[in-house]
Order: sequence, then C-alpha cells, then structure tokens
Amino acid sequence: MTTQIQTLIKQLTKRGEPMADNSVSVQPLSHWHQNATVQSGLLLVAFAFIGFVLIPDPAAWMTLTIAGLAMGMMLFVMTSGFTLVFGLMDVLNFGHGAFISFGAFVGFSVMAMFPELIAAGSFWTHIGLFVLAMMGAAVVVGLLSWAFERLIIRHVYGNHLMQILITTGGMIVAEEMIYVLWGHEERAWLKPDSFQGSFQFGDFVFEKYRLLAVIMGVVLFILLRWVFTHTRLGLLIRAGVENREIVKSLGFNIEKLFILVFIAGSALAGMGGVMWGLYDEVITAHIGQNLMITVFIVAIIGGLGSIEGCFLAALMVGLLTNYVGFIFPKLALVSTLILMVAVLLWRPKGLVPVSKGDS
Amino acid sequence: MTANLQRNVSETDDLLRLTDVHTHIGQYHILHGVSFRVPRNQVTMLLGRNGAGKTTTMRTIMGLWPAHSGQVHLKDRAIETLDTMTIARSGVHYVPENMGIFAGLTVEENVRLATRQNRFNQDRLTWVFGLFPALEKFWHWPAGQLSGGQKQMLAIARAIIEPCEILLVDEPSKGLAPSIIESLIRAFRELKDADTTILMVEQNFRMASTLGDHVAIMDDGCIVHESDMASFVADKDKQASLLGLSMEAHQ
Repeated sequence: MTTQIQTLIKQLTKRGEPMADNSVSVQPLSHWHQNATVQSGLLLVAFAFIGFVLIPDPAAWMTLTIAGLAMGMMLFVMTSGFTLVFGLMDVLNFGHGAFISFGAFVGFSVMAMFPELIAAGSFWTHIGLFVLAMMGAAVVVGLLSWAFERLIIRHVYGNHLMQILITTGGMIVAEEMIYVLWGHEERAWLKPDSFQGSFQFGDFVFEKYRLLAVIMGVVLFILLRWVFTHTRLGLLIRAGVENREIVKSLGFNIEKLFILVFIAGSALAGMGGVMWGLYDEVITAHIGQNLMITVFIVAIIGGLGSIEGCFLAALMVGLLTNYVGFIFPKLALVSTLILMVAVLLWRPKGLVPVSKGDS
Repeated sequence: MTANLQRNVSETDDLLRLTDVHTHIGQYHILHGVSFRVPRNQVTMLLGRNGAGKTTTMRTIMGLWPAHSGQVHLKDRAIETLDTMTIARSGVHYVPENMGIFAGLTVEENVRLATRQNRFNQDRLTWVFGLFPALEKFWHWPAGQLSGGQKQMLAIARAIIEPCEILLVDEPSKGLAPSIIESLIRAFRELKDADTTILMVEQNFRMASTLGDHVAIMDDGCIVHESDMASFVADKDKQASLLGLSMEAHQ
C-alpha cells in the first residue's frame, strides 16, 4: 500500500518533460502544475472568492468587483507598454508617467473639440468620441515617444542608472510642457452623459463607465494577445524579450523593433491616460507621476516583460485595492505593496516570469 | 566519409577567411591576430583548450563582438565592419554555445522565426524532421521543456531551416549524453553530404575527427596550427603537442 501511494505521489509530482531523444514522461497534471498563467488566473479567481466571503453584501461585492476590474483594466493598459519596454529593451523608463499625463491631456483636447456632440450626441457618438480621443492620444504620444527614444533613450541603452536619471528628467520636462500647453490648473473632464450614472440589474448596480473600461481593457488585451500569438511581429517581440542577441543573429533589425515597441508601449500609456482621466474626471500634469508607483508594482508582480502577467497583476491590484478599501480602509494604501512582497516571495520573477536568455 | 576526409583542401576555394583578426572585450585583448580559412563545402573544426578564444572567434565572425582590426572575408566580401543582422542576412547562420533557444516559444515558433517568409518550405521541413525526428514529435511543445539534446537539435534545425552560405556551430556536443552526440554526428554527416559549409568549435576530439575535413587549432587567442583533418589525425605527435599540451596547460 505504501509503495502504491509512493508511486502515485511520484507520478503526480513528476515533471512533464521530454526525457531522452524522443521520449516523454507522461504527467496529466503537469499543465496545471507548471503553467504560471493558469496558476495566476486561479489566484485571481481566489481573490474574488475571498472578497465575496469577506464582504457580507453581494451587491456591494459586485460593485467593488466591477470597480476593481475596471481599475485593473486601466492599469493594464498603462502598464503593458512599460513592462514590454523593460522586457525587450531593458530600459527602465521613469518617464512613462509623462506619456500617461500627455495622453490624458491630448484626449481631453480632442473631446473638447466637439462640445456639441458631447452635449447632444447619442451613446454611440460618445463611444466614437471616446475612441477618437484614445486614438488621438495614441498618435500624439507615439510621436512624442519616438522623439524621446531618439533624443534620450538611445544614448543610455544598457545603463540603468543613467536611464533612471535621464528619464526622470525627461518626465519633469514633459510635465513642464503640459503646463506650457494646457496651463497650471487642474482640468475637470466630465464624462459624456451616456457614460454617467449606472444601471440596475436585479440587486446589482453597475456603473456605466466602469463597465465600458472593462470592455475596452478586454478588447485591448485580446488585440495585444492576438498580435503576440498570431503575427510575426508578436513572435519577434516575444523572442526579443527572451534573447535580443539571437534575434539579431537570425537577421532581424532589433533596433527597429525597439523603436516600434517603445512607440506602441507609450501609445498604450497615452490611451490609458485617457481612460484614467475620464474615470477620475480631473486631470493634472502629475496624473502619470502619481500612477507610476502602481504601474511599477503591477509590472513587478506580473513579471517584467510578460503581457499575461501584467494583465493578471493589474486585475489583482485593482480587485485588492477596492476590496481592502471597503473592508480595511486604513490598509488600502499598503495592500498592493503587501501583495507585491507576497508574490515575490512565492515567485521571485513575478507571476508569469519571462525566461531571459536561458535555454 | 573516407572520401570526404581525403578531399584535397587545395582543390577547393575558401568561403570564409580570417586575416590577422584582433578582438577586444572591454579592456581585455582576446584575439591576437587570428588567421585561418574555411574551405567551401567542407567541415572546418576549430579546436583548442577552454579560454583559447574559439567562442570569441565565432562571435567576431557574427559581428556580436566586432573585430578591433583585421579582415573577415565571406567569399570576396569584407564583413568585419558589418552589423550582426547584415552578416546573418549574408548567409552566415549561427548556433551559439548556449544554443539560444527561446524557451517561452514553441518548437514550431522557434523554427518559424528563422524562416524568411514566416512560412515553411515543406520539403526543407521534411528534410529537417528527417535529421531530427524528435522535433516533429514535440513540434508544439514549449521549447523550454525540451531536454538538452533536443534543444541542441532545435538550435541546429533553426539554423538550417533556410539555406545558408556557412553554418557556425559552437560546441554542439557540450554537456550531452553519448547517445545524443551520436545522433548529432549522424545529422552533421548528412549536412556535410549535402555540401553545407560548416565551421564548428568542438572539444570532443572524436566528434571533431569524425566530421572534420579541415582543422584549425587555437591557443591563447592565436591560431597555432592549420591543416586538413586527415593529416592531423595521422600525426599523433602533433596532436599530443598541440592538444595534449593545451590540456596540460588548462589543467
């Protein structure tokens, strides 16, 4: 009996790796044991379940969950670019926050160009304006980031200390540019009527804009996932995150790929800035700087360079912030830091670690 | 194979030629005037003790550590000042010492990345599967889950999925079990029979002498001997003085 149990334990804990030339050890549970994305996804579900247990009112839980998911999606959009830039280019861009702020102000200006449509437009008009604002922010911030990479980042590749110093300086300059272009005052950015308020479904109340943020976040995530898994560009980025040198050795122009990813990552930050600006309804030049700590935390929890990790970490941080803010308000600020420490103790390279140059 | 071993080196032209190549890594001067040639359609073995500069030579050819001075000619074209991307596009395919497998990508994605048009030439793929049957079996597996030998096969498959001018292979037998080394030798023999020009760094002298047509021996960042492999294999004294002494120095 003991032998049978030992054999069973041995089978269940055996890794599902190919052994010799073309043989393989069979391990039915290996996928669940080894797939970090699946494990982290289950952890996210566990978060929601624990929240459900600790929050006595299901309606409040549902409201907080939607708020958490919405916050998570916005954090994902803002962080995905940062984590990719670090993963592929090994660049610590402390100026990423400036792209968030710029995106918010550009989006604000785009929407301000159509006051009559905001005042009298239908739901779909407002959606169109929202998408237009995000596109405008993406284009302007993308162009800015191209200049930022050419003028600043390219001179400090491979030097983290210089990157931190110079990109922090870049962020200060960018914030001053916002003051010059849009003034020193904070700007109120009210949501269009269609995004205001909430609707009720049974006992549950759903805030419209939060649901919209969740949908936008899911759409962007699916789009990013599709690019990463179905296009040659995505394949190159995934490969480049692991080992840039080999990508070069295969005959690819890694410098072009760097610039492209930097522009795309910054454009995503700009889009995130639009989403966050409308969520908060107030924008300042410091909006991005204030969010950077959370962006760092999400990127580190997710695993630097990992899009799936970034997505799951952003949702975890969003849910945790909302649940803890409701249950233990005094702990709300430190909860994400505690989560980061706990995750790093469990997985030192983050939830979905990216292998770096190891074979 | 005997015919290959007895091939007269002087009858073939050189595909790759290094002339007085010096390479620095940071403040260290690693290659001190390396000169040797790689004849077309032959397997050239670059031998020497650990730290002799073999990997640095391979990386210098690939442009990963640029030559400080000297010339590297691919056919008649000087490539020592070109970047790695251009060198790779000129037909120099490289299998590094650590194999350079993308662990998070599947076997199929690893190989597809090396194709020019992001799709496979079915005949070529069938030929590669013939060389390395294990890859077909684990085609959709994450490459990080392969064994060491399978990763080496994948690294080589990736380098040969498109036709190349020359294949640079750095220590393919390193850390592999004897049975895997045998299957690698079989695969390289087939590549050799297909007239692939190969420059291989190898510590395993049996593998080197089995596969090689031409040999260059390095020590302390210089080429100390160059000849056809058959004459080097026949000259036991030279083997002892060049490889034996090197081993003693290393020990």
